[in-house]
Amino acid sequence: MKEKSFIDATKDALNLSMRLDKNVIVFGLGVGNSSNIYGSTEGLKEKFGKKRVFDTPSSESALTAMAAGMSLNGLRPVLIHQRFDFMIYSLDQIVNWISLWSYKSGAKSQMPITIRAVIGKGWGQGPQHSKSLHSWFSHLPGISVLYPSSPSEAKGCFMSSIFSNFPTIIFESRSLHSTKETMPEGNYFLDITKSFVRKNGKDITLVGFGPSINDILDISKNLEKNFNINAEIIDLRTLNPLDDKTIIKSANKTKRLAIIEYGWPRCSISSEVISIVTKNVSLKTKPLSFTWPESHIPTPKILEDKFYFNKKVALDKIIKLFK
Amino acid sequence: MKNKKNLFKKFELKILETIYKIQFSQKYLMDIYHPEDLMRCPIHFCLGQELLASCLSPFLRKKDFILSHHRSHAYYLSKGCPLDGMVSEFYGKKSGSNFGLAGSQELSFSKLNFYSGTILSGMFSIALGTSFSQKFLKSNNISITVIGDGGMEEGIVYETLNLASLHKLPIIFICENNRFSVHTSMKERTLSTKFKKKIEAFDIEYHHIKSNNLKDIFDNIHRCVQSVRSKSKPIFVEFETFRIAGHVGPENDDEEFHYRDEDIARWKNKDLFQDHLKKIKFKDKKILQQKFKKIENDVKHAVTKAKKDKFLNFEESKKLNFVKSFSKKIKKFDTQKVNFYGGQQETKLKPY
Repeated sequence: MKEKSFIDATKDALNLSMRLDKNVIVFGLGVGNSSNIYGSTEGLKEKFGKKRVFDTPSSESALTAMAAGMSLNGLRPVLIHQRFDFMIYSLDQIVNWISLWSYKSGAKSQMPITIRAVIGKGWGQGPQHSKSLHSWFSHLPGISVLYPSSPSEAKGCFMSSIFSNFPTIIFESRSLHSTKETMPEGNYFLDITKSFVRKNGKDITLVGFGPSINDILDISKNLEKNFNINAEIIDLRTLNPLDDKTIIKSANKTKRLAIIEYGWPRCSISSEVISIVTKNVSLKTKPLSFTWPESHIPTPKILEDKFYFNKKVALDKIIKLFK
Repeated sequence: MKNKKNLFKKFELKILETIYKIQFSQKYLMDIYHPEDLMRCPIHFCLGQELLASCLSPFLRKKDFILSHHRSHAYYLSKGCPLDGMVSEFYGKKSGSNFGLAGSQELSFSKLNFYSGTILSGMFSIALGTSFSQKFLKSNNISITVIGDGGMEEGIVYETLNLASLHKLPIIFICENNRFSVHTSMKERTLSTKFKKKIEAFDIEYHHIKSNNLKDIFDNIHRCVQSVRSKSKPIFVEFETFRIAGHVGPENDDEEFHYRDEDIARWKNKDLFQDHLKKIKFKDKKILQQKFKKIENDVKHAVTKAKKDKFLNFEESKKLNFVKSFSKKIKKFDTQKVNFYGGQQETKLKPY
């Protein structure tokens, strides 16, 4: 066991996967180059060679197609977008080809691809480097969408995604890159079709994923220490397919629900979770959701601070549920 | 020169048989498509566009990939994929190559690495990956991808050409140029009608194959296959062709829209297949007649069988979207520990 940052955990996952299977290929703009995707692909090219680790032209669409084709013939490609916003160029490939592939072949052919998309937050990221369209992709049948919340979870999600036989998009928040966690060394695989109950509790179910788990853990500690409210925490981990069972089971126990999402509110994961829960559980109080406002993301810090979620506001609203 | 002649002679009857198989299946299905209305999928019949696929057929290996655009039947059959699987697929039956879920436009047969799809240029670009893997695995197999002149207008095509050239990938890009994107002529779509210039700008070898005679088509595509296999570099083939069938379905859309009257005048009396049959020796003609008869029976039998076959159960069909399965490298899943503590400082970004 060793404490590692999110970026180091990701680097470990890529190293271990490439060592485990010589057919794992890693590529994308900046891979094996100076920036090395915030350090996460550092040393890979030197260790595994330029045939398996390579930089690319900025051709997101064709690169996605290339990953798709590789996966049809025994390779396990990992395509990295250092900024998610550019991945939108590859919508045709993801929607019309990759997500449909299993279904239209009668499941006789699969595309085991991992697409890693990094989302910015903070200095200068503004409206073009901070978008998070995880819910768009979760709308599609046939594709797995993951959003890890901690360093060890990132490691497990990456390794399991690379060695799954279905296509996966992994969203990753830059705001978590320096966060730390103690984790096992060596290969680490998580069941990426299941959510993770981070904490058992009885009074309210707090649902989150990606960067919101860091907030939820803090809020939960505060609720317990200062207000004697014992929250159960569901870390979704997988946004598609959603692990309905785990969510419903928890809400059935606590009868209260709040969800925090780093994303826009309409047709979102929050609205989906609330829909699933309210259709299946009689809650004691109205469900709460905390999302981004319906606005693009501002560049000036003073506006950005108002845009993003505020823990104190969330805490106050949750406490009110118990009054 | 002598060897080449011998090689064509060796495959001549097989090629004629393949052309007939494609032509007869198309004509037969076109005739019954509307009156029956049981093939409930849009079909892009390839009548008129069967020559290059048939001439390519003898050089294809089982593990070569063919990734075709929507007008795919000629390439499907030239790869050796089963006729009855194709017909059942059109009827939407469980016995179809794709359980009836794909229809004509997305027809595939994964056992022989044949795939197709209708959204323009997708298959063209996916060939980047199949050919990358073939080179990476040192297999000496190649990828062949088929596109139309309309597909060449999508942006992804030029990203694809660049990557294929950069990585020296073993791909034959075949453009079946019939000069029409649905009903819109090339002249109305671009001022830059010469593919040669565009292709050579990416440092990719360009070949122009005309529909002059079968042996020429055969020799040219043979040279391309040999070159891509031995040099592992992409080649682009522009093949001049003429779609006899309408854009979609069996209707004669010429009478309705008159969108290509000039082309029809130029191509209507051209029939390389019939021209070639006239040159065949009497003994071979006899052999071919028997083969043709068998093809006709096979097509009719495939239709009869498809009509009797069952549809896939709806509940079963839903499960095909996402199959939860993992590589054998994963022996078991780990149990996630709760070592992450909340409220950690978020990463402070340096500029950019």
